[in-house]
Amino acid sequence: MQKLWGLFFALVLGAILALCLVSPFVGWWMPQNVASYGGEVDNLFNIILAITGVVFVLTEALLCWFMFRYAYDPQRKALYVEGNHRLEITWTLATSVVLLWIAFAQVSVWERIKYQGLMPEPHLVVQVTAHQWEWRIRYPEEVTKTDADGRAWAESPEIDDLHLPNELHTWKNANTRIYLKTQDVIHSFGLPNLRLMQDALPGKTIPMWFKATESNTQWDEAAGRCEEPDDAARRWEIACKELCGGGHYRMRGRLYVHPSEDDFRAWLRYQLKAQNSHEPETHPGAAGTPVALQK
Amino acid sequence: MISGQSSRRLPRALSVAVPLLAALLACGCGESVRYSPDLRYPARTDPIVDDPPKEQPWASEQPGRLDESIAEIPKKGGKITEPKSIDAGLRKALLAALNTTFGTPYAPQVGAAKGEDEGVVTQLVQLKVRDAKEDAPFHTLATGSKAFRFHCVHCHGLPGDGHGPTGPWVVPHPRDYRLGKFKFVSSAGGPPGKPRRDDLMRTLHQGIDGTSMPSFALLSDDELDGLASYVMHLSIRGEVEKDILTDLAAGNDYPDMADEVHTRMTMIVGQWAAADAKPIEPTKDSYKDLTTKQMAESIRRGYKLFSDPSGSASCIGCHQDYGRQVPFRYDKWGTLVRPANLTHGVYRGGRRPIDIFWRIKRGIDPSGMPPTGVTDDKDVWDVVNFVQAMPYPQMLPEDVRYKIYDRPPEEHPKTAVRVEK
Repeated sequence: MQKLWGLFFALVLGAILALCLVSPFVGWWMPQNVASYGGEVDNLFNIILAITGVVFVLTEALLCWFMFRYAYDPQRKALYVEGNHRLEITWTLATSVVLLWIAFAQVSVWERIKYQGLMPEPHLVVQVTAHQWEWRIRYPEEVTKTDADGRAWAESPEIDDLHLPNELHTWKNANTRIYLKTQDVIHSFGLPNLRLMQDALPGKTIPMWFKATESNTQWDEAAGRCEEPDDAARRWEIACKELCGGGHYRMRGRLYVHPSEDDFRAWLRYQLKAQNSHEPETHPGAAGTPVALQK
Repeated sequence: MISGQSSRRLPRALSVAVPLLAALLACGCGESVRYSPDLRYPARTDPIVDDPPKEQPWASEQPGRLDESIAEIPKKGGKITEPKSIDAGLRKALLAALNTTFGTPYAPQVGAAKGEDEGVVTQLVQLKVRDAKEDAPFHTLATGSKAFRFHCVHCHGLPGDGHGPTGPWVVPHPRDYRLGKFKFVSSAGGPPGKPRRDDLMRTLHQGIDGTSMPSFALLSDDELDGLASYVMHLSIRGEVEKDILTDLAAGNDYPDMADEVHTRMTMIVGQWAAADAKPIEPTKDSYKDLTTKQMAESIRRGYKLFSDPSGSASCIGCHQDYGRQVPFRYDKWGTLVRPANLTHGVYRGGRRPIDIFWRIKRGIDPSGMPPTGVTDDKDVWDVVNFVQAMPYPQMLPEDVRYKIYDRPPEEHPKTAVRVEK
């Protein structure tokens, strides 16, 4: 009877393992990756998953085997084991070596993404302010800024800046620099399709950068909106990745990557014109309202 | 000892685990997001603020004390009406009549589905509170009710009283729709504080910058339409209830309560329709694109109009020190508000020139901002240009800049200069 528990555990764990193995092939895996450094991040993920996965499966298999083999038997006398010193040293050392290796293997990727000194000269600077529960995103009218000017602009808004909630726009292969602030609590600006996230800390302005290697929209001047990709996987999103209160779940936004700088500038011009409107209009808000993520 | 128990343990454990897992999987799916069909709007029991206090509040509200601060209004020189002071029988009759006319949270309606007055039906269809097709006249309201429960009720409360669980804890408080007034309106007609449908849609699209009201632009068009309609439904219902309760407290009686509710509903729907009819339109050619030099002149004129305490605009009378040294005051909801700090560059009602134009022309009635006394729209645009430039010292002509920010120009942060048009 006790042995049945061991079997039950083995069955459940086996089912979970099967689901995990099947998941990449049925679309339960990672969202589309379009960052220039995205491949390296995913490589790291896969290596770590492989190492920890193998060890995990081994230990769980052993656990189930022991549950089955050494299930309670009133006839069997218990073994008194004092421990095996050499075994314990071996498995501690082996684990430490693996962890140390992982720690050093990831440094170069981390540097390239996070170190301010290694961020490339930006083509576009954007300032994102997080607050409960939305993202307020500010674009400069004068798109091209040098690194130093961009940093100063992030701290001093200008009268012609475009302010939009929850929409991040850039163009393909542009080095996009974001300066991240928060008005209240800690949020985290997450771009899953770019494998990028950064905590926003009260009182700090934190730089981040990315380059998107593919585009997912085109500006439609006649309709006054960005084209929506039919494929739901190409509707890239912004997500808040730090629990920030009751509305954290809906602190989402959209990421639009235009195919070219000209397309982006056309969109920006239109938005600035809408923001500078002196006439009542029938469609409210800045033009180009994004389509729901649910659709 | 063990073998006897163990043979019972597995089935017992499974008999707990399986239903638990099933319950976890089942909850959160689709239909449970809607209000329960059995739920009814409760009778109003919180006080109606007839007159906010006149005295000067010296501190901002303490968090979580919304109920208490409204209850204290009579002590501070204001006037409230307690629904509880009214005969229970009358209140019961009122609630029954409201339920007939306005339905339930699950199935909201405004007026009867069949046989309603044609005039009211036309107005409601124009306001998109009622759908044109006869077989499902309140489909939009039902969509709105579902979205409202999911996204809005935790702040705005079940009857739209601004008193959801989150409501007392955020400042400014979520809007209490039952007063029938809104702040950021662009309506040329209708009574003060009644918005156009577009104003509600705009608030949903862009949120209210500087407050806890976020942008809901990522919802589908259907949901947004539904939400605007549902908010109007809650406001109409709340205002009818408030008006009748006030009259009942004053000693009036309505033997045919259903008829009274219907009459008031008709009147208030008429007010909404009048407000929605036309936006405030700037007079033709009152605004042109300006060169940098012309803009500087416009800002100077706007500054003069703003800062002259005896002039037709005299904004400085309330926006003391351009909003940097303003005391709190009571608004018509009995909560605290103060004239905006215009040096911040945060515009709750929208940052476009036309939005600021509307604020100046129409005022913000429930907060106490009067419509402007300036008659010429060209002058209003001058004030708009000045207001928009105020947060950016570099954009102000030097003589104006010194009056507002008395620092020499070298110490201003370096910002780009607006390009000559």
